[in-house]
Amino acid sequence: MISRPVLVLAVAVVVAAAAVYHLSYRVDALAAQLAATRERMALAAADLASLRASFAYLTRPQRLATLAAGLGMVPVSSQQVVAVAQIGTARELVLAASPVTVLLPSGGTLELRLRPPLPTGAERLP
Amino acid sequence: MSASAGGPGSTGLAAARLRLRVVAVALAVAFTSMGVRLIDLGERASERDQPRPAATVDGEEQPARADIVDRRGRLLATDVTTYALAADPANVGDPALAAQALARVLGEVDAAELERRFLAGRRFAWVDRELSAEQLRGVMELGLKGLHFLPRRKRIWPQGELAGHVVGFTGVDQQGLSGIELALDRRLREDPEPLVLSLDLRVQQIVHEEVGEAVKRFRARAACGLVQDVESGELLALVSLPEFDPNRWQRTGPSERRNSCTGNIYELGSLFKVITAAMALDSGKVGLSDRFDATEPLRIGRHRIRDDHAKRRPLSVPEIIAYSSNIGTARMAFAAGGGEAEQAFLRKLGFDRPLAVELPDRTPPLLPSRWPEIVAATVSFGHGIAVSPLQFANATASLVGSGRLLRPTLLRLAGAPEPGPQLISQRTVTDLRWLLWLTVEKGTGTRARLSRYALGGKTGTADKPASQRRGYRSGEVVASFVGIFPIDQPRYLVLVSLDEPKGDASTYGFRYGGWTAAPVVARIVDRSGPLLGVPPTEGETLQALRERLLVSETPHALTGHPEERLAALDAGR
Repeated sequence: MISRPVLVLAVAVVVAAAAVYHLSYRVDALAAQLAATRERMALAAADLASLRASFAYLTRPQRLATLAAGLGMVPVSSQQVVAVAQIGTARELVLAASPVTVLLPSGGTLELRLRPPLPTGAERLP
Repeated sequence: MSASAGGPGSTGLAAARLRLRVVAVALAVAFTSMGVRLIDLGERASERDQPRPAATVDGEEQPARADIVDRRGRLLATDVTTYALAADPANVGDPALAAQALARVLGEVDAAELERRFLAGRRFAWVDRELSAEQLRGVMELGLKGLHFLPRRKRIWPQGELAGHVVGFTGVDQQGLSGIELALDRRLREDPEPLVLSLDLRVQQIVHEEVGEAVKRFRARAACGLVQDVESGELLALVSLPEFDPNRWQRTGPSERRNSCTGNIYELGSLFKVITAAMALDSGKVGLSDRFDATEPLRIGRHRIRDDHAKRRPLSVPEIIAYSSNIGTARMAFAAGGGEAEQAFLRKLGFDRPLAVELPDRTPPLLPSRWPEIVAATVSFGHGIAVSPLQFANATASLVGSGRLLRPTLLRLAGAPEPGPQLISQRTVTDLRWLLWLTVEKGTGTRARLSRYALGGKTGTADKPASQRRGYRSGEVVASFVGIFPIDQPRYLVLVSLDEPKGDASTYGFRYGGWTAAPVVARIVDRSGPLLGVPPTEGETLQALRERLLVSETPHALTGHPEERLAALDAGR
């Protein structure tokens, strides 16, 4: 007669074997998943490198300069740099009596109200 | 069974039955396990036999070669993965349909030619040796069988010709063949971190555009334009024309690939007077108030030295530099010690060896083998000695910057560089800056004058030596201008050198550096100064520079400082 402990042990061994088998299978599945993820990462990295190169190519200064010229923009000049002291404060800014329509290089229009102080037709900001 | 129940025999039988059941169960478990395992193995084997996805990039997570970027991180060189596409014609199905489908996606491939390859009877046929990422996706979406994607790394230079001479290029097996790619080949292979150059692509673009326009306008054969930080030695721009695109380097010739800033050496002419003035003033034997006779051409043996902008009177040192007098410069060099002093000073500036910079294309200076009087005289105004524009620029930046020898570099520095050996005193540095400001304010460099920046500079126009005989070619010159801004506290040096420019109507036919190269430098300074965060020169600074001039124009001014009682500068003449 097989004693109860032996029987319990036998069942435990079988259960443990099944668990180990399942674990091993799971590890293999995870390894395969890892390899697939790595492969996708490598492909994504390659795509990223390609996109960065494309971005650098499309934003190369020579191309931007041509596009900017087409939009009516001009290169920066030292004439456009002023000292902080030359910039008016809010107290010194004045509004024109009526908005002035300005044509932008892009073809769009913009309504401006700010202008340098003038003696007539201007109201001072509060 | 029931007969034996209760006896010893029946107990034994029951035990035997139990054992049989246990064994049966154990065997069942064992066989089931083996069965499951066999199925498992079978499945895996079939998985192994399946073809792997064609476009795999296994083992390519790390770039084979580090990226190269400018000082603000803009990409100059990088690796991308491209795919070559091959086919096994036996497995592509209908060769005509497959060829048409592929030609539709790939664009540049001819369907008839592809079909011919598929029908050639081989098991391998190239379809396209380089697919873009878009083409790759298009081909994959076709779902054709029998195609093989072969990944490979490719080096590309997105900025094209803009920095071609600096960055260089690589060969088919990714080894550096030119520029930084060659000079720092090992670093780029071994360290995956991006290599950060000192170049500022914005400034590089400005120099490229302005020098390029000057080359077109004056029909120059070649040109060099550069911007150097006079405090660190870093090069913010280095442009050599004619240019070449590293992506298509095989289609260019050696002359286009030659770096005219480092690989070509020129007699730079009057630019050299900056060096002679520094040597003379620092020797203590020549002072700013000294005058040298430039009334008549200087006779040395059977040679006669003349002035291009002759004043035919004695000239003070500031006048000699401002009006670029050859006679005065030669006399000044003799007063400072002649050929021996020149040789010693040029050695201090490193003109006896090739320039140490991270580029393989460097030509060492060509110095005279003997230094008789006539050679000492011509060297003082930049003839009989040939140096590369970068080597000259670095010497000037050293003299006008801190007075210490700079080490030029194309790599962005993490901190301040180690100070080089002291070349001249701080007082000479200050005098030299003023002389260069004067040259732009009232001398030969007035076409470089800017309203917002105090610019100092020197013009140079050198005849080109004849290649087959002694002497010089008539009418062929190298016209240059070196500018430093802001001259009161120098931050950057800009040098433009045009090889064989031809004057046009706007220059009244003149090809002098003051007419052709100086305006180019001015435009570069005007455009790049704001981008580099250089504030416009304050009125007080300009006033101080002009006041020194006013004192100079008053020979007997009671300043108490003998050196400031300079000869009258005939500004109006």
